[in-house]
Amino acid sequence: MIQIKNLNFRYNFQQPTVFTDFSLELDKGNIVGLLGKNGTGKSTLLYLLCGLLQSENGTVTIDGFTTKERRPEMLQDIFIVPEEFDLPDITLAKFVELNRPFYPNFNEQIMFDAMKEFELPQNIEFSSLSMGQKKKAFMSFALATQTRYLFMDEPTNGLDIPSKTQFRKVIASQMTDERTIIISTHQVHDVEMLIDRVVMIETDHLLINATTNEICEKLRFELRAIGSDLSDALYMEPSVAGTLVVAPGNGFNDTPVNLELLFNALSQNPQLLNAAATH
Amino acid sequence: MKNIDFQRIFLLIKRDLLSDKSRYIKFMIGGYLAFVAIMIINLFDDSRTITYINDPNIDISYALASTAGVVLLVYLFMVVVMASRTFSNFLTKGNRISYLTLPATNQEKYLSRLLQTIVIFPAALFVLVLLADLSQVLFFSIVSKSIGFIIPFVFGKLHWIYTDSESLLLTFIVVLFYISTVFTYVLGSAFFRKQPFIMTSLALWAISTVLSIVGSILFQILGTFINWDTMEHFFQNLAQYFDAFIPIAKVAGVVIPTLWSIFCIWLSYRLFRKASVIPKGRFGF
Repeated sequence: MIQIKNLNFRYNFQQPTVFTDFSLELDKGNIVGLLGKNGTGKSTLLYLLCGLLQSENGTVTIDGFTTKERRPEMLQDIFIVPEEFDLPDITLAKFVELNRPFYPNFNEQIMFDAMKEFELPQNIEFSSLSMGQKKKAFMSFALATQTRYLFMDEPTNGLDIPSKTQFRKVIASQMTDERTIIISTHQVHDVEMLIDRVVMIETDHLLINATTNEICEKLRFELRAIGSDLSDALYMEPSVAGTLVVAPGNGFNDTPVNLELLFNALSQNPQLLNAAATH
Repeated sequence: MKNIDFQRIFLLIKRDLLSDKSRYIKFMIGGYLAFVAIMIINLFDDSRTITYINDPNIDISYALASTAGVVLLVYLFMVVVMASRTFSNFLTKGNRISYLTLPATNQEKYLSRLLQTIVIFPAALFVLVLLADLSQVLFFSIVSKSIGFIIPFVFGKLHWIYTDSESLLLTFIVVLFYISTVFTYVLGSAFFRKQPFIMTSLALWAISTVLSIVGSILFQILGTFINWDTMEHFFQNLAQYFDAFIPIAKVAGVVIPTLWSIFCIWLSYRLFRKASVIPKGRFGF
C-alpha cells in the first residue's frame, strides 16, 4: 500500500512549493492514471515514491517502508520507467544478466512475451535501437522484474500508434491483484481504456482520487447534438460535432470515462463530484 | 536484510564494470600504451648517457630509477584522477535513477563505487604497468639493448625503507598524505558533478590561496604585537626547540591525513546518502 501523509516538498528554497500538506493513499491491484497539468508535480510524486527525492516534512511509505531510506527490501519491489532513461551500449542479454540478480522475482519469459507483443527480436543490442524501441525493451524488462509497484512516467511518449495499442495490451496482460501500476501521462487517450483509478493533482493538492467506476457512477460523459438540452450539464465544451458534456450520473456505469473532459471539468470546478452528488 | 552484503557489492561492481565495458577497455589500452611510451622514451633517453660513464651498472640503475620515478608519478596521478570520478555514474538523470533505485543499501552502493576507484582501478593500473614493463623489455631486446625490468628493480630497492624506524615512519606519513589526497578527490567527486578533477584541483588551489592570504594578514597584524627581541632569541635557539617539535610533527603527520581521510569518507557518504534525482543546488548530488 502506498501512503503519503502531510507531504511538503520543494526542490530548493528559491523555488515554489510543489506539495503542501499533501496526502494520498493507494491500495494494491490498480492501474492508476496520474494526471495533472505541466509542472504540477506528477514526476516529482513518482520520484518521491521511489525515494529519489527527499521531502522536507511528511512521510512517503510503500508497504510500511519509508521510501527515502531506499531500503533494498522496498527497492526490489518497485521499478520506475522514467521519461528519460539511459541504457548502456550492451546487449539485452547482458543487461538482463547484470540486473536480474537484484530482482528476486524476475521472469525472463514475461520479458520475451512483452517483446514479442512489441515486435522486438530477442537478440538486441541497445545501441542499434531507436528511442521508441529502447523504451519498449526497457518496459519489457520492467514488467519482467515482477515488482509489486511499477511506475511509468509518460510511457507512451515516443511510441508510434501501433506501439501504443501494444503497450495497453502488454500492461493489461501483466496486471495482477497484487500489483500497482502508476502511469503518469499527458496522453490521456493512450491510457483511458487501461486505467481503473484516476489521481489528478493540481498546484500542490489532490483534485481527485477515485476509481473509474466511482467516477462513471457519479458522472456521465456525453457528446450532445447541437440544440440539445444542456440544463443538467455540470461542465460543457463545444466541439465540431456538438457539445461535450459532463452531467450527473444516474448511479450506473453507462458511459466510459472521458479523461480529457474530466480533467478540464475538474480544473474549472474542483467540487465537480460533490456537485454531481447534490443533483 | 543486512546493511552490507558483500555479494550485493560484488553484483554492483560487476554491473558497473560490465555495463561500461567498452569504455574501460579503451581506457586500459590507452593506459597501457601510455606506460609503454613513458618507459621506452625515458629509457631510450637515459641509455644514451651510458656511453659517458664507465660503470654501465650504475648507469642502468640510474636509468631504471628515473624511469620508475616517472612511471610512479603518472600512476599516482592517474589514481587521483580516477578517485575524482568515483561518482561519475551520477552525471545524467537517467543514470541517477537507475543507480539509486537498484535494490541495494546506500552503504553498499557507496562502497561499491569506492572499491572500484580506490582498489580495483589502481590494481588494474598496476597490472598495466607490469605489462608495459614486460613490453619495454621485449622492445629493447629487439633493438639489442639490455636494460632490464623496471618494477622488479624498484621492488629490489625498497629495502631502504626498512633500514630504520625513522625512514619507515616518514614513508608511512607520505603514503598517508597521498591517501588523504585520493580521498579529497573522492569528496570532490561528490561535490562537483561536472569536471570533478579540474574543479577539485581549482577548489584546493583557491582554498590554499585564501589560507595563505589570511595567514599573511594575520602575521602582519600579529607582527605589531610581537616583541622582536624575544623572537630573535627564539630563532637563535631554534635548534633546541626543533628537537621538541619533531615528535609533534610526526604525530601530526599521522593524525592530520588520517582524520582528513575519515572526514572525506564521512562527508562524501553523507552527500551520497542524501543524493536525489534532481540535485538541489549547483554542488553536490
